[in-house]
Amino acid sequence: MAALALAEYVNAELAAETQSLSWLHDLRTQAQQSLQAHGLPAEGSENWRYSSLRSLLRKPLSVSTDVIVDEQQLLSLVALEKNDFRMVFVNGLYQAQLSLVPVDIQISSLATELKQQNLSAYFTPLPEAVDAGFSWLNASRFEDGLYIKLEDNQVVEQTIHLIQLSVGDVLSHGRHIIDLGADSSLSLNEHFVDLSGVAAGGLLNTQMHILVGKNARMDWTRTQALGSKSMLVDRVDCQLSKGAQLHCTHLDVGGLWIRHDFNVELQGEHGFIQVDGVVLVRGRQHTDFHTRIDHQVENCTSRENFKCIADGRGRGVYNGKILVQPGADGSDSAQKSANLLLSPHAEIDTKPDLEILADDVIASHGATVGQLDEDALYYLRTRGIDVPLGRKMLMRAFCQEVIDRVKAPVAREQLAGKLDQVFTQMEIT
Amino acid sequence: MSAILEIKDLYASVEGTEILKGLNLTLNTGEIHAIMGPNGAGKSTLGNVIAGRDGYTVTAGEVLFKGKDLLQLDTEERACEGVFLAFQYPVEIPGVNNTYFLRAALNAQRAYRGEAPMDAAAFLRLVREKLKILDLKDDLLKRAVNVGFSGGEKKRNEIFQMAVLEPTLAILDETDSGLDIDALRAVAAGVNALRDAGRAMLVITHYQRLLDYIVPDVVHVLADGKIVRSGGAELALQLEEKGYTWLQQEDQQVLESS
Ligand SMILES: Nc1ncnc2c1ncn2[C@@H]1O[C@H](COP(=O)(O)OP(=O)(O)OP(=O)(O)O)[C@@H](O)[C@H]1O
Ligand SMILES: [Mg+2]
Repeated sequence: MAALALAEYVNAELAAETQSLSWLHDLRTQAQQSLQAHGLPAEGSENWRYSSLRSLLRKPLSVSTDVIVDEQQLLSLVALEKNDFRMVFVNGLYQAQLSLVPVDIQISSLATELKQQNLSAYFTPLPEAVDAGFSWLNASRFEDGLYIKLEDNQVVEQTIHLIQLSVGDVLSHGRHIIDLGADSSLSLNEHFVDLSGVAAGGLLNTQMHILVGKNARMDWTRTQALGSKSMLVDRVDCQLSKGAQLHCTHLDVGGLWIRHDFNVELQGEHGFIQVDGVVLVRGRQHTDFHTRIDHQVENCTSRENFKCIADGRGRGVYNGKILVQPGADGSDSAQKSANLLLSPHAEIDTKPDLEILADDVIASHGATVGQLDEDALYYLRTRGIDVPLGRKMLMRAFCQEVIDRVKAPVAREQLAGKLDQVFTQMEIT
Repeated sequence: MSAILEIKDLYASVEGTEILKGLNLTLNTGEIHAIMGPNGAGKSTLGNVIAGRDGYTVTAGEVLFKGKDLLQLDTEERACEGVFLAFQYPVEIPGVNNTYFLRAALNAQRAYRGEAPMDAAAFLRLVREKLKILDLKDDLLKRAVNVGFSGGEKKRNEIFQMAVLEPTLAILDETDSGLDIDALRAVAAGVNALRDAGRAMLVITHYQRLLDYIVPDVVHVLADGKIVRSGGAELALQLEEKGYTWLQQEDQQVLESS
């Protein structure tokens, strides 16, 4: 199939189903109907007001076909040890030859798993909001993704890497399911990387469904280091049971146009969610981070700490929705958004968005926008450090608080190393 | 004996206000000069003008460092040429590790001189050696630059940096203020360890006590933007005893008798 503009996919016919799963057929049909009825998020949508799709809609994108990526190329993009477990997807399709999978847990590619069992529960109900266009686009067209199911008490000691690699002007629809049984635990390091070069770039339209069972724990890092022309629309829906813990740290240091929707439902008492992020936007990069944390029951805790550095003509958006449902007393939420605005042409839009419908609640939030500390820069310069290096050191330092909050030492070092690399390679005057 | 620093009829202003008003000062190699003077006289301003702080405008006069026009150089170039300012109020830099910072500084200066960067192991050896002189707690090195340091620890950290960077000209701006006796001795040991024929130091202080440990060749009094009196180490003792009003009274007498 020839490349289509993104807008044309809304009405494009679905490919013939290769598997005759009636529930999947129904899902796709229904998603496609919703997509055709409402389209992709329109200009007037409040949730998308800072992320106009205008330039995206015209972008010509082709559908995924098999691309061969060798291990050398992969290792040049992601720092992996030989024995690190990894699930590798290229343009959304699973690459068995590049992957290394533990044998003692249920982990496979979604395409494989769909043939084994009925997974319809993970896909329904479809989102109904009129601005859920990308979810319908994904549901109508996804082919593959990561599937992990941990049984009760299963503890995976070794970190698993999820690698999503984009090559060329391709529209892909990664679909990932992680289902953690009671008292289980998982560490996942996710990487968005690119082999498109500077001339081309794809659109990754990913959806992730995560269930964290009773007293289960997930430690998760997400490093988005896509190429300078690539785009990402990423939606995550997490449901946490009683006593479940989810710690997630984002590093958004690449890409041209990025949108994250990170949704969390705290469904059982004493659930804990921490979602943090470092966002770097330079040149004409645009990164829009929407989080939505829904305290549905009593005594859950949520923590958010986002740091954004905007330089050049970059634009960083953060919208942190905290919803405390009626009766969710004892909810404790803290949200922090700190921003560095380094250029007169850069833009930061940060907004706490609190809807508190219970009485006995702690909900703190704070947003700051500032510049680099001139006194600190002078101090560095008096020791011989020039302005570009000094600025990079201070930018790197600004991010450190988020890194320090990562619990797992290996993941923390990896994120720190990635940031060091980004700032070392950054060209700055 | 040649001059390391020559300041000739220097006028400088900060945010439109003239602070230095015709200052003259010459430091020769191997010398330590002390500068004393009332609050607000312009002592820190002098340090910042020499270090090259933005917003400090030289309106007249010149500053030569080893015969070169210092005012033409950027702050970091001056540092790489061998100028070091120990701050009156050292700056806290959250998120920047003290050791990392110091190694970056040393390697920036080495690169300026065309030398290869010092690797982590060699740097660690250097640091250990300098730590001994200063009696600085090891864990301060692992922390962010000056963050949460006590007043005295910040001052020790300044001298520690000086010891590692080995500047040709060091300006110590009230490094003795707020130090306990042991810290004062440690700081003095750091300074004296660096004292040699190739370097010079300018020690700004309010207290004669420091000068018992770091014996200066010359003591200057800076008042209202210029050097109003210079003398030997005994000048500091006289000032300690009689205060700055004594100087003004003396000047008054000189004026009347003429
Ligand atoms: N950034 C500035 N803006 C305006 N005035 C300034 C600035 N920096 C210094 N000054 C003024 O310049 C004068 C000299 O200040 P300076 O800090 O050099 O004094 P000092 O001799 O070091 O005093 P102290 O002994 O209290 O440290 C003071 O009147 C001070 O208020
Ligand atoms: Mg001062």
